Parts: sequence; structure tokens; C-alpha cells
Amino acid sequence: MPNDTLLETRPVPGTDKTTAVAVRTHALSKEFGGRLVLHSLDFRVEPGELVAVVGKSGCGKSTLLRLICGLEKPSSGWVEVGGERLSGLSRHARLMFQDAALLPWKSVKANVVLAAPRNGRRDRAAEDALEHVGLRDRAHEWPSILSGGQRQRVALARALASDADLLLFDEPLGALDALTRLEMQALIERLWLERRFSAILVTHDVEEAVALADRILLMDGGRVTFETVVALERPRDRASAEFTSLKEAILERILGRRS
Amino acid sequence: MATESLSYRSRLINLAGPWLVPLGLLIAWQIFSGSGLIPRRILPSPLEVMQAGFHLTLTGEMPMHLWESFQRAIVGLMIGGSIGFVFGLLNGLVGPANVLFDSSLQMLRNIPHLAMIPLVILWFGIGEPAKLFLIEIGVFFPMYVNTIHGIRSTDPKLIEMGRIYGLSPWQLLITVVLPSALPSVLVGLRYALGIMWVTLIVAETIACTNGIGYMTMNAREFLQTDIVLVGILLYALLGKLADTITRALEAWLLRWNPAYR
Repeated sequence: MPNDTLLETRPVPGTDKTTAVAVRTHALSKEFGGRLVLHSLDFRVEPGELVAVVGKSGCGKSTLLRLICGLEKPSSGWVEVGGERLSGLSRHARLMFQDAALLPWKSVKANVVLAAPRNGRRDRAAEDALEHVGLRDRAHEWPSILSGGQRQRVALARALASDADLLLFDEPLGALDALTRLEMQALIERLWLERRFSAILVTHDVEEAVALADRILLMDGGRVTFETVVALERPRDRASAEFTSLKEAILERILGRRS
Repeated sequence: MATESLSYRSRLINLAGPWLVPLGLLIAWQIFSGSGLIPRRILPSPLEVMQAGFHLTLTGEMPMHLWESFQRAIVGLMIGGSIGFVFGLLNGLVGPANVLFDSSLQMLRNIPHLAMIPLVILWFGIGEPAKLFLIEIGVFFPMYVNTIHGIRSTDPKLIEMGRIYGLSPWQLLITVVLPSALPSVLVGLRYALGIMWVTLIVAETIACTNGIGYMTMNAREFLQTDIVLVGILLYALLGKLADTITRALEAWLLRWNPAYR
């Protein structure tokens, strides 16, 4: 039995430092110019869990990610990442935006090297990460000649190279076409299964949330209004009855509040 | 086959096109001046100007003046440009410094720097420092304004990304802010070069004992129109040369940017 556990937690080669962390928020509130964007939010992510946050634009989901990342300071309440109360930027979390935010004056590889831990073999880490997202052969190109999907994959490789324990996705696939989006969703799922980092995926695409998440939270007006566990087996069949009915149920909840 | 010859022809047109108009003007000039339609004292023919140029080169007079002018231009550009760059950097990065200096600098910027000539002569006399000072003020502002603009227009997303990946403020400056400001800084450099030549010409024609400006003004005294024209052409060539070098510099430094490829 002890052997089994050992085998199970054995890290994937080259990814040995991923130690998924838990996230907790305690009565987290955020105010911008007198407008309350988050209302005393209690939110948790277990280590290695992939949680999706869906909701209409302006519901506070992006703000939540920025608070967990430490880019914004809470107006009240606090964030705990890996058991530590956050002050300043989190050293565990990596945020991915809709824009890949690559440095255009650095090659693809140099962009990834930038994120690799200072003490390790940075070149090697970057190459491994690019291999993981299938872009090893583009390592020496300028980001400007890559497609939007490829740029997002580089951004993903950058997060992997940094040995992120917590990945925060802020609608990273929002600007991609439908096919590339499917590809990227599969890639994110595969990497997550391999590495088991904790992840929060903010999206307005309910299907994406149902396809990827262990748990889905619905946010509206700065509050969590609905929460559901997605108990479907992976890889998920988007055409299955359970998948569709869950998707419909969540969509109805999102739209239902308005009518 | 047809497209191949077409592309060859269009390439030829692109290559030769820009030279056609100057060449035509040159030929017309040679015809009018050579035939005596325009008096030599007003406009000597191109061949005569070329002869004068050769002669001045052989005697070593022109290379000497050229070298003096070049030195003046470079030293002035380096000093004035660096100060402009440093102030742009400081005010672009440090809010309080910007509050303190920017409005004063903007006020000074509106004074045409050549209007300072009487004052500069009173302060420095007519020696070398006066000329350098004028060039320095001239190139300061384009460098300052463009550096500050470049730094301000850094994409905040890139800075956030850098912070998330744990870059120190110094690393952020080197890897994110400065490269992002570079295109704008180079635009500033090109403006500065233009102003540098104008200032040099004016400074050297006031009171000077060497440099192309002196050579030209001296030739005017003796009605040597051909040498005056040599001087003017030299300025044109130097200006073009400086522009070509900065373009090459841009193409190399900004090779990551599709707009510069």
C-alpha cells in the first residue's frame, strides 16, 4: 500500500516541483470607487482541484483572480494561498490573460526562460515546457509571427516552466476561434492531469467550464450564487446527455436571474 | 515566367525610381549652366561643382572641415541626447520627478533654440562651447519627449506579467520597459539628428574658423559659388548618411517588430 501511494504521487519527469496548493478566501471584498465588486466572498480551491468560475461580464470574476494573484489588494477580508495569508504578489500563482502578454522583443524560448526558476537549468526547463505544449520547434521565432493559439500555448509553457502551483486563467481562450479553443481546452486538461496544479478558470463559456472543471461556481453581482460539482468522467463527452443537461441547467441559471 | 519578369521589372523600378528625378534635375542643370544660360556666378554647372569638390579633397581642406563638423555634431548629439534620454527616463519612471521637471521643460521646449544665439554668444563667446551648447539644447528635446512617451506607452499587461513572474524592478526596466520604449527613442534620435544638422549649419556660419559652415561662408566672401554648393551638398549627404545609419540601426534593433521588417 505505501508503495502504491508513492507511485501515485510520483511526479511526471521534468515536472518534479509541482506541489499543488489550496486557496481560501475569507470574507473577501473589493471596492472600486465606491462600487462593491466582490461581496464578502468565501471561496475555496482544494489542492489539485480545477474550479471554473462563470458569470456575466462585470460579475467580479476577474477581480477575484487578480486578488488571489495579489495584483490587487482586498478592501476587506483576506486571501490564503498554500496556508499563508497573502500580502503582495503570490509566489505560487501564475495568471494567464486573454492576451498572451509575451514580450515581442524576445524569442519564444527567451519568453519562457524568463519565467523559469533562477536557480535551476533555465534553458532546459524552457525547452521541456515548450515540448509539453508542442512548440519546441518554434523556440527561436519571434512571438509576432505566431498565431493567437500558439501565443497562448507559449504563455502556458511559460507558466509551466515557472513551476506554478496555482494557475489562474482569466478567459485565456476568449479571443481564439472555436477550433483552436477546443484544442487549447484539451491541452489545458492534459497538462492539468499530468501535473495536478490547482487551477481557477474564469470563463463565460459554460461548455468550457463543464468540459474542464471539477467544480463550477456561478457568480453574479460579486457573490457566488450557485455551485455544482461536475461528476462526469474524463475525458468528457460533450455530446452525452449528462453533459448537455448540466450545461443547460447552468446556462438557465445565468440567464434566469435576468428574467 | 511572366510573373517572374514582372517582378524583376518592378524590382528594377523600385531600385531605380527614387534616383530618376534627381538625375533629371542634374541633367537639366548641367544643360542650362553649361550652355551659359545661367551665369556661373549664380549657379555653376554640376561638373564644375564636382571639380571644386575634388580639388578641395585633394588639398585636404574639405576632409579637415568635414572632420571638424562631424566631431562637433557627434559630441553635441551625445551630450544633449544623453541628457534628454536620462531626463525622459527619470520623468517617465518616477512620478514626483515628472511633476517637478516636466512642466518647466515643456516651457523651455517652446523657445526656438536658435533664438538663444545672442544669449549663447554673450555667455560662451563664439568659441567651441557655444556651438556645442546650441546643438545640445537642440537635440535634448526630441530625445526627451520621445523617451518619456516610449516609457509611458509600455503595455501595463506586460509589466503585470513581469511582476507575476517575479522580475525585480531593475529586471522589469531592462527586459520590459526599455525595449518597449526603444522604437520611440529611435524616433527621437532621428528627429534629433535633423535638428543637429540644422543647428550645426547655423552655428558654423555665425563665427567659426573651421567646419563645413565656415568653408561655405568663406567661399561666399570670395564669390566661389561652386564651393558654396559643395558645402550645401555635403550637408545633404551627411544628413542622408545619418538617416541611413539610423534606419539600419532601427531595422536591426527592432527586428522583432513586424512594422520594421
